[in-house]
Amino acid sequence: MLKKTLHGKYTPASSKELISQKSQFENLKKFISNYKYEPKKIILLAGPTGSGKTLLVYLLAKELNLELVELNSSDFRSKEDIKNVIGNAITQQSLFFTGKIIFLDDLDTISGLQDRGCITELINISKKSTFPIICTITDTEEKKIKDLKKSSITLELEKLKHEDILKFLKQIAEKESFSYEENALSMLARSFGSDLRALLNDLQVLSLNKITLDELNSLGERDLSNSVKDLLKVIFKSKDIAIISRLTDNLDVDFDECMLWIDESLPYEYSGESLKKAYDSLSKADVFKGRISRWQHWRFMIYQILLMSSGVAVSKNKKSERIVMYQRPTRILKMWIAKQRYAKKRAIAQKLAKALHLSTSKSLTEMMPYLKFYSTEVTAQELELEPEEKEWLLKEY
Amino acid sequence: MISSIWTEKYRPKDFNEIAGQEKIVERVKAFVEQKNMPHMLFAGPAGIGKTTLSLVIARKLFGEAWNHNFLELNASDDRGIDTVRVKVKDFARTKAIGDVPFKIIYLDECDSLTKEAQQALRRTMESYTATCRFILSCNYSSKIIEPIQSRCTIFRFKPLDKNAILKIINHIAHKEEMHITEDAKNTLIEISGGDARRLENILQSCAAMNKDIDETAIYEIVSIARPKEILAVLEKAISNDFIGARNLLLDVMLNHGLSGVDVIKQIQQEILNLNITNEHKMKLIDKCGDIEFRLVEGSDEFLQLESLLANFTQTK
Repeated sequence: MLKKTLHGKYTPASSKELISQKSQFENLKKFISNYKYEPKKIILLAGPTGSGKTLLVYLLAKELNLELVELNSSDFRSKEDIKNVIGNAITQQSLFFTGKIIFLDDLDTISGLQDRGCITELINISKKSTFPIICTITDTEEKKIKDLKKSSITLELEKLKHEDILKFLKQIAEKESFSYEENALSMLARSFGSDLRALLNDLQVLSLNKITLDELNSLGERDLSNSVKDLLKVIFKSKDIAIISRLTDNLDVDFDECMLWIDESLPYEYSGESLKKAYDSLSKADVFKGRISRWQHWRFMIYQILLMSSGVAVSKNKKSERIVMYQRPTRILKMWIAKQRYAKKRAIAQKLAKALHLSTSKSLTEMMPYLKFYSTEVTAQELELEPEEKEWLLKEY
Repeated sequence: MISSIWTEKYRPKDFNEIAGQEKIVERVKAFVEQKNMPHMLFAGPAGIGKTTLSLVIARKLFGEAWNHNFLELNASDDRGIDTVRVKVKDFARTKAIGDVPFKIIYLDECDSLTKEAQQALRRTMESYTATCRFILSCNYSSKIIEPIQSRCTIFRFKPLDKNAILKIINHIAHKEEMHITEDAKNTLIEISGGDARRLENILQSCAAMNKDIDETAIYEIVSIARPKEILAVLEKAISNDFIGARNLLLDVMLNHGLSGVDVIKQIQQEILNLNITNEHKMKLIDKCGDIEFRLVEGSDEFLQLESLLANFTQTK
């Protein structure tokens, strides 16, 4: 395992290292420098995932020596939140008397944005702002931000050129002394639109062996399950919280699905006291998962992720030597199948409940167990069951 | 009418057929004769006549038209108070048919309503007092909020005593031409726990096998009808076969359509009978409570139960 992900290691540290987007970077810089005279106070930075939107803003802040005030989705729960958080940031002088950039990352992914009047409030506030506001978005056609577009300047990041990507990959491969086939790298460079992050993550996986076309094909389409399996391996086989956090930060996976994967494989990896502790941690992660939606407080997700990954990792006494093939969780599928099967039973229980003046759950737990002793033929008739319900009842009882 | 199931076939249709609860029946009968009654709250365990008495009231008050003047709702099926409110509204809009000035709304299992839903229910009760009377039923009156209690006359139903149970046994035995030994009758009294529904289900199950019933036949039926899978799950976990235990648990839940709370209720009951030290038992009970709280809060049922199962390993 590399101590640092390729993505982390080769993220440009200055605008000179940018392999693309240089001209947009200059435009952005110009806007910020002339900010006072610009009529529109918000910049929308648009571009596909992994094209470097966030990176540009970070570099900009660094090179212009501006303080970056970053807001996240939990600041967008209501109009008042916007007023408080951005309002304060805009009027307060920066701690070191440097300038500020108000930065709203992935604005279009925040759900329910439109309903709560957040966007309108944002536009209002921006008119009085003495500091520039930068928002990144992936989709400029998104309905939610229609109004916002009118009151802001949109900068679209250009698509990465194939030659640039290839050059970049080669540099990395040389530096890391990966062995590679020229055409495999070229293919790899071509297979990703503009998502450099995904590209680097795949390069990392491939680099464990020689990077060849065959290997590349075996990787196939970028498959979610591969990144999850990588994560599982680290969680189950190491106790290094730093590495795990770095991985969970960079992986673009659905953590709720990850939890199912961890749950599925856990008992094959751990046993005894370790298993108990690990389930304790995993079940607490699940509690936080529930709290996220109940309280609409997205920061709880941090605890969910830490408890399900690092929490499970440190629960083990020692690493198991067993080699476990991590399986796609089947529980959800099984539940769905059972639900289909169970639907008939429930329908019958409902009819029975009505006839016997019971609740459905009582009919299920207190009446249905006795049905197997009764002559269900008559009951089916009296309840006026559908033919397929009757058939089910006669077969199962 | 469902006559193939005895709990319905032998459900009393008149006040004098009701076994036990004499005082309550007497009072309620007086209400019916005056053709006026207050809102009522029936509290007490399952199978002792709360629903039956409500149905009798309706039959006696409204005669043939009872079906049109009696709305039966179950709070645990019609979870949202909104469903209850809509149904009540539709029902209460029209006047009662006949000479009784009100209709009856029977709301069963009220203790499954949340406090907020009960507050809403209270308001609903007030708005329709002119046209409707409510009969609420619950297992524990303490789970019903004060304002509702104060608007109702509360009747506390007791589990049926020995005589009441015997009366039912003898009545059914006579009608169905069954022969039940004295020992078997005593066993039935004990096993039924004063619950007439349970009693009648056991009787009918026994009768389906043989009309001559002795003690053994009863025990046999009871043990077949009782689900033993949860115990098997726990035993697997205790013998450190965690994977076996969780696979069986998932099977049981899926095949019987049990909810997480259904399962944990059974687990909690089984813990006390397990062959482990008392310290372990209490630790597990403690954990059980924690997990049940999480389930009620709305966590992933299976994952939470797995984490409970993990606590059963290493208890030997």
